[in-house]
Amino acid sequence: MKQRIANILMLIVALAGASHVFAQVNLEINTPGITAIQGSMQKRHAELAPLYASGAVGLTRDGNVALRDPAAVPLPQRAAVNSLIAAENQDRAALYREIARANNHPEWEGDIRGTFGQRWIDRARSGWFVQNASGAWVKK
Amino acid sequence: MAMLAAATLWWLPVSPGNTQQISLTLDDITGAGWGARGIRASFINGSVSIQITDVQAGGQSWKDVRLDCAALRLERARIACDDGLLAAPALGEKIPLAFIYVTDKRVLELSLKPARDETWHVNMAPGKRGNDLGLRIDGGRLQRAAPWLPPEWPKLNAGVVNGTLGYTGDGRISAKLIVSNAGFADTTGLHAGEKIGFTLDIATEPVADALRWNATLQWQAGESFWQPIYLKAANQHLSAEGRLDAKSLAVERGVLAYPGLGEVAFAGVYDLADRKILQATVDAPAIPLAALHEMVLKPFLAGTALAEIRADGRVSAALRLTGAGLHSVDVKLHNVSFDDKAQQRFALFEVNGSVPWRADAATQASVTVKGGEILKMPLGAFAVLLNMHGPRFELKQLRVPLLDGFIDMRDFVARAGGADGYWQFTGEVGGISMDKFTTALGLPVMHGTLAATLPMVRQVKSTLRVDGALSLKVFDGAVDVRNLVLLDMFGKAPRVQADVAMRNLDLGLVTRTYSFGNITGRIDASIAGLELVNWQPVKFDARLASSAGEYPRKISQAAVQNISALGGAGAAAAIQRSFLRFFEQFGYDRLGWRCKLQNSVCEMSGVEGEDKPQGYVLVKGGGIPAITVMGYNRQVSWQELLDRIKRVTQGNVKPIVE
Repeated sequence: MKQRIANILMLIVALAGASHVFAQVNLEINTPGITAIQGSMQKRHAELAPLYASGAVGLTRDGNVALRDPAAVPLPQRAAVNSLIAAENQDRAALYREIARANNHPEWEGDIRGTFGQRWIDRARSGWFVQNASGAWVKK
Repeated sequence: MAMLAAATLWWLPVSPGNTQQISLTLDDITGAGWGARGIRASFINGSVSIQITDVQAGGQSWKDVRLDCAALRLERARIACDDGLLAAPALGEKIPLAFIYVTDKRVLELSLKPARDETWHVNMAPGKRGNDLGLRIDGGRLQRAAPWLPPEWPKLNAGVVNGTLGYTGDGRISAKLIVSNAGFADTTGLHAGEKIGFTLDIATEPVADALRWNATLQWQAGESFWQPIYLKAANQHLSAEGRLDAKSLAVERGVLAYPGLGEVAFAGVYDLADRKILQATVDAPAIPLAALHEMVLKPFLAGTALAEIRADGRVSAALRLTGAGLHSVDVKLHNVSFDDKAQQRFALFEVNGSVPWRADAATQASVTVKGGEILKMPLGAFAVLLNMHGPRFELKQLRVPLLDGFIDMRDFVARAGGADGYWQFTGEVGGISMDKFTTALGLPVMHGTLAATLPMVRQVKSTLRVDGALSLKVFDGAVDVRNLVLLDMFGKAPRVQADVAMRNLDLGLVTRTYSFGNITGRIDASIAGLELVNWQPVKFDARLASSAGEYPRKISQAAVQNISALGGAGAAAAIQRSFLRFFEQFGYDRLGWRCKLQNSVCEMSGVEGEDKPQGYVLVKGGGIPAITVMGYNRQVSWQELLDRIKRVTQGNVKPIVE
């Protein structure tokens, strides 16, 4: 419950900077499409978590994930990790699009992406790498 | 021939004592492919120091190069230095060197020893024509070659080279180099190699205005990743020969022998100025498909249904490229079989034939398939005759046997090529027994024959659209699906839109199939504005109503109970329980149900025109004994309704007779 309140507060803070129209957005909206995307991302998270922990993959400011330190991934696994990153970013793009669509405002996709980018970064575990305001990688 | 400009020489006997000093300045000196500017040399009592402002060689330039020799030995026929030091800011280190120059024979021996285990030994001597040059490398650090590599290439970060390189005055070059523990990487991590070991032999020979060359490369150790392909050394052997002139590099004969895959022959011409391939051919006969898929194709198919397949058979391929692009592809399939090993969704067995594609001519591909499976349903043998002309593909007719019936595809047309790509066809499905079909798909067993007409089916980008009505016959009635659109079909959340109309379905067959209790009669149904996201309904307006016309209308006790259960708890109360106890079957006049789904809530009503203030009529009684079933919940959550239907059709609800 505490976590939920914290999330809502964080959301309000994050949305305060957005336009007053955008402030009407429901980021917690649920549709079968969103459920499907979230399910797919949740399944993938088990594979991504060790890569976040090792610093190989980090969270970008624009709501994506990126290969931060290629050297942390042995060559035989690099293609698989690249596909994992591509699939995750595809899902994230679909998620932002679906939330915008479900809110009946497809044009909010960019703002939703920005809000989520900050949200993932805020929620990242300590030790993970995230991009700061200037785009540089920092360890949380 | 070196050119010398503006030289000054002083010889200054400096007193007091016997100190001797010679100073020399040269403005510049240039030769073929190299040059030096601002040369100042001084010789003081046997110690020589040369400073050069700028040295250029092979397109590279070094500033402030300095060569010191503390004890230069000037003998009658020799000049020698045993303890020289070469320094330049760009080198980042002082490199010890030693040389002997035999003046009468004009032979130079020069050794550079940047590290204890690294020597670059140069030998220069007059040959038949001009000077012959030899280089022997022992433990050479490969990174020293980095400045000569194009800046866009991945950076060399490790490696040792041993071997020899020879140049004769008549223009012949021969080299034999053994590279070990080499590594390279770019910052993105998309191109990298580690612990790479290979042997390279190169020989060139001048012919009129060009060089003839041949080279062999054998890859013995290490691994490399070049997005998306990962390769491991397995004694791959590459040999090639050709011509090199000022404009182009030509490979006249090339062979890549790849253990496990076979031999691939190639040739081509590369334009050095425009940095593009002018023409090329690749010929790969009878490559085992399993190895080809694992090593080459799989990384490109990642994320598609074809990434995790089991493949068998052989494929021959011949490609021809010109400056304008791909000119021809000839593929031959020899007993190719593949199946979806993880999910068993599809399989094709014993595929044979040839695909002779040309960019600028009409050709026909002919492929036969002995059999296959789709969603665990067997496919029979079929043959494909595909007409091809550049990016356009046409198939007049194709019949694929499925179970005991067939799928017909007619007038298939496809256009390959990114944004302009599309495909379309019309077709028919017929003669498939519903019981076999439903059993294969794990659905409740239905009876009858599956027949459907597929009107124009068209895919443009990621949208699949069916123009006209997709019609099929089930439960002795007809189903028409109109305005069917599948959006974002390859995405994570595909969306389907359609309008569905069903006419005159035999309720006896329907209720038996779904163990709903028995209802005799006929029903019409419509689902307007159906919208599915990820195959789950999110919006529709569905109506069920008894079909018009004369036919027996009976409803069993179990069906009454089940309909009541669907209507919610309140509905059952309306049933006259004493009636239920005495009769197995009841007569009815009309059935009706409407569900308007929006925002996960289904708004329900019953037989049209029969709405009562207290509820709606699901079954309007008629005949003897008659029964009327009412519904009271006008709004029900979609999930709750699904759970009710599931309980009912799984037989979890038993009729309660008091």
